[in-house]
Amino acid sequence: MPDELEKRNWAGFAKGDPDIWREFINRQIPLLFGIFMKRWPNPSLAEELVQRSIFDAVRGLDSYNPLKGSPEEWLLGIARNNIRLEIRKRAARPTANGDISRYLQTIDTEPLPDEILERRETAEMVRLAMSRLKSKEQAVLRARYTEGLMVDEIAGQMQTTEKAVYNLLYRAKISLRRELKLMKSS
Amino acid sequence: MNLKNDNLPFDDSAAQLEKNISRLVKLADDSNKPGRAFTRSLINSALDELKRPEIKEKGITSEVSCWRRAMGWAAMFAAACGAGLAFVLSVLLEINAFFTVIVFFLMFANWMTYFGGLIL
Repeated sequence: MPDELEKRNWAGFAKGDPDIWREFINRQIPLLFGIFMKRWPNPSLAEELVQRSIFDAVRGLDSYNPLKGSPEEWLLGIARNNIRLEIRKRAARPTANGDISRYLQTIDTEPLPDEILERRETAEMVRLAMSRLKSKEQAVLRARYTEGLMVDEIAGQMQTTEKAVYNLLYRAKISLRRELKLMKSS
Repeated sequence: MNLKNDNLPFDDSAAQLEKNISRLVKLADDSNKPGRAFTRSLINSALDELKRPEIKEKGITSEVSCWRRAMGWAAMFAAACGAGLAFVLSVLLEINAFFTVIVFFLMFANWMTYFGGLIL
């Protein structure tokens, strides 16, 4: 049974109170991310689905009724709906299968299929390829893509210039591509 | 524009590589949590979206329509009581009953249509 404070929060949520929303989104992002990752172990897709669910919630705010339940339950319903849509989208397109290295050969021309990214071997191959890079290259790739930092933030962390970070990032990407393509022959 | 062997413009090729590298590097991370920068950026853009006038108006509109609906029900109830009372009074005061019924039926129907529109 929700207490008075909770009910007041739900009403504030329905009215679009920015403070309540900020706290709510901050709490819900990791939970939604975990739900999507459990379904498809693909961080990029999980981020995309989290983003879609949050924006669906913001845009559909007038459909939320505090009398029918908590904002968490409502958002979970939106997330489940996005899972259903993703399943339907996947059913409508051809399944990607076969040798992973075949897909890695064309990483600069073709988008990697989600099914390939979700295979455990792909993650293992990327980890192995990353371990073969110089430590600075590994660090810059992680900072840019895993932590999602901007170039100026990375430059601040590495105590170097933005230009140097751009160059390092470029070299790191080329090295990783080379290592991934070499995986075929090994 | 620079063309590579695969006949793709260099910019498209670089963008595709960037996108694929980004998706692959994220896979290498064992953590089951979203990045801090992603969380921060999503919160800010969602709050910006929330501040957009259309979204704000939606909230206000639903609140106003709730009030309008309540007022509609109350007014419809009042109109029904008024018509009933007028009919009873006209009978008690011995006015031509048939004439009174027609007048009050029309009045009642008009109000019902108007307030029904507010409720629905």
